[in-house]
Amino acid sequence: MSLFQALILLLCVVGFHGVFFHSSLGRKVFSWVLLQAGLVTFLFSLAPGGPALPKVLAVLAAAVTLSVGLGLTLLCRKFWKQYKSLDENDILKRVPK
Amino acid sequence: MREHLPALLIVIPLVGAWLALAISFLSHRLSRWTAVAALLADLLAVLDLFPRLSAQGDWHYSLGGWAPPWGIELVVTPFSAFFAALLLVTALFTSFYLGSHGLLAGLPKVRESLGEVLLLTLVPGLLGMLWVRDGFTFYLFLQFSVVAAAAWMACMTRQTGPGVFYFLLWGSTGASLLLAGFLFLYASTGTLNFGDLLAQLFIFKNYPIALTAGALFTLGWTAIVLFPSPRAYRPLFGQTSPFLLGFLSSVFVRTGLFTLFLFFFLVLDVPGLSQPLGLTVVEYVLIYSLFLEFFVAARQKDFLHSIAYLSVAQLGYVFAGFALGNKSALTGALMELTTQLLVVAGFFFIAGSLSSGGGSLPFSRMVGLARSRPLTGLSLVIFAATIVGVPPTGGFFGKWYLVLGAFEKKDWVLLAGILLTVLFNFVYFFRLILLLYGHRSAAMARPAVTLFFKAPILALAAGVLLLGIFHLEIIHHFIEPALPKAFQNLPVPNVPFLGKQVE
Repeated sequence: MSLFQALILLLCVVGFHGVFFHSSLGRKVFSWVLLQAGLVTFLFSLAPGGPALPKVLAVLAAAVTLSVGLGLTLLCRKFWKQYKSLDENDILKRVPK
Repeated sequence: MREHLPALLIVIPLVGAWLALAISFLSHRLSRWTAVAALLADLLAVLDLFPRLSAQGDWHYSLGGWAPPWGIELVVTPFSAFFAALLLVTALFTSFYLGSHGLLAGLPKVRESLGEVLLLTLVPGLLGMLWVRDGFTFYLFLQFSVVAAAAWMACMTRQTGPGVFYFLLWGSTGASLLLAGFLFLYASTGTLNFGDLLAQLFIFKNYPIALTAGALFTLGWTAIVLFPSPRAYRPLFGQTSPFLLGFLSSVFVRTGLFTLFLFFFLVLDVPGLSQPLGLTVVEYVLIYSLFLEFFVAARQKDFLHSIAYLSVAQLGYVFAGFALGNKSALTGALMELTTQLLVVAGFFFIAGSLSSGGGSLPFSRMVGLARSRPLTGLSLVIFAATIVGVPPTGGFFGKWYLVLGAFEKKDWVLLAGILLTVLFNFVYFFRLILLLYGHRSAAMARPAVTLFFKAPILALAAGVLLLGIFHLEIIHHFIEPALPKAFQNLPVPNVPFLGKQVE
């Protein structure tokens, strides 16, 4: 396994772990972005010398990551303003049932 | 124009969404009618597909005239068209109820109109998922649907809570895992077209890649199909309309499960691929943990929470059909999938019509419901009967074929699971009937609702019965052509593929 492939795997595993196991909503968003970054890097790794398709797919995946990441960040900002915390346990306690 | 119908079916609601959005600046009422008209037009266009599908079989449509595997292909099968028709009918019913919900929940008119626009934006995403046969385009449609659904939820609630955040995050994570699965396949085969993937995996016999992709697809969908389990989405329940939850848990989740069927049996079902024992054990654990949700559902004191658990628990039957994998079991799984779409929507619509503007609905408030609202009570009995598997509901025939499939495969573990849940649900079903027909106190009097308001719920209940009564026709015309070719009794010619003779 090359260093580049190890980096891709690391990004994906750290991202996947963080989405489910961080209690801070901000860190969850960052972890999801890492997971996506791993996939985009994987697409770029397929591109050199090969067909142009992976590059196009990588750009599209990056665009999706940016837009969804922005949406998630805006929601985090809203929760920060409302609850003064991004800790999910704190927020869930204060959400009306 | 008609030769582009598969693409037009995705375009019509999108154009309708833009039109409804533009008109909402002039009149909210006109904007709502525009949205309804767009959904109705799409439904009529789907119905227009059937004569051609029955005469010529599957409709293969290449986007922009680029032939697959290089171009993006849409494939409309009789089953996916039937499923799309049910999807659009459910969307129309949801749209009908959301107007009254907006009124009850005190949402501003502008939010109501925007909600209709977002529903119209979600529908093409789901239709695209049903028909597209390209891995990356599928990912884009899925991510588009997740974003549209999250925006729809945020728009239709007074205060956007963490439930919407979790839906967007976990939906996107599920989509990322699916993308990872497709990228694995692309890296090893150089193609993203579903048909081509199957051929390439067969030629190169790259079974570990197929198994890894299958595991990633399952993991990706698990993040999505758990909606709306209160374990993961509890914050949604106090704030989100049951009508909206009903549409997403019936249509979104079931559409996703149908696409998982496509991945398993039309992409990864490589001849010669045998499943390791460890994976079989994981499958049993997954199916049994879904079945356990029936017990959790029975312990709930709130009707809305109970039906949310029931929605997730019923997926166990579909997964059991996938795990068994023979003709009878897959027929049962697809029959279950179709029936569940109507049942789950019906349950949530009833919850929405009983609770005002979302929130909890304790079972104690439902005592004597069938006496004060006999038609709603009857619909509830029909929906519960199909979960139990009482003939002649669609659920009975779905479970019948699943049991048949388990017998044929001699899989006693899954057979025991299916029979145990049916027996347990039978007891639960009788308890529900006693509750519905019990005597209520005067304090529980409910305001009368018009027959017009109840009509969609009654139509869904009638649909569940019709699915059962006409199950042979449905299996013959829609389900059998959707099964893998090996189960269709078709002669398979030994066709050379890319210069290589296929074994």
